[in-house]
Amino acid sequence: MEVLFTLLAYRYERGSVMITSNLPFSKWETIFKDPMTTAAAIDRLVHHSVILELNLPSYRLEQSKKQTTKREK
Amino acid sequence: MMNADIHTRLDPFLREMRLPTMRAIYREDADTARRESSTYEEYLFGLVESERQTRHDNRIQRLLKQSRLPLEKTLETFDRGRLPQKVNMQVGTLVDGAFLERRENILPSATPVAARPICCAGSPMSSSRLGAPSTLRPVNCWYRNSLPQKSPSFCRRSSNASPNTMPY
Repeated sequence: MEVLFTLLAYRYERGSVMITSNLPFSKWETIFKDPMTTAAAIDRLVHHSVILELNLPSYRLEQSKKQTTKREK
Repeated sequence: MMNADIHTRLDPFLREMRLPTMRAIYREDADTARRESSTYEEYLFGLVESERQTRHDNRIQRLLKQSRLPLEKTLETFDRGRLPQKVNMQVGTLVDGAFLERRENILPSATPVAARPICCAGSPMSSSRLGAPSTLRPVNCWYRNSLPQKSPSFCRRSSNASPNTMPY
């Protein structure tokens, strides 16, 4: 976490960072040991940010279904 | 001084100063300027503008290459029809790269199977096209120099590309 925190602290208000994760911020504490550092990192990350909530069904699954349907026809 | 003498002396100077576009076009532009009775300043401006534009274009190509982004995945090829209206509008505003000037972070939150990676590829590519450096990299590779033994091989390869710069 310290490594990630150092990076985020360096980039804070200096440049943009784009981070994707399958874990919501509330669960970051489960994978990073230090909750204080984790909270500080999230704080810096979220302060100036655009949050895109992409809770969609899988594109791959839909593509696969379309291909299967085409084959059956 | 004769024109031929000038060319003989000017070509090496422009090469030494690393101005390849100016070196390539200055004779032709000079002919055009004489025909059109352009001023010295107009002629010089045309040369400098061409050099600047070529450098800008080359920089974008270099950044795109360094970013190691999947170039075939763009926002144009991304099926945005399935996105919720709000997200679709947000994604649309990212294309102009203004978030870079505002130093805003982009945090796509999604289920593991959603289109997050494709969506993320589009915006950094737009950034690169605007002349801002960007890379797409797993978090554990960003500080690869501090983890030399543990970094996978593709991380070490990418570290050779820009060893002295802070990762973007």
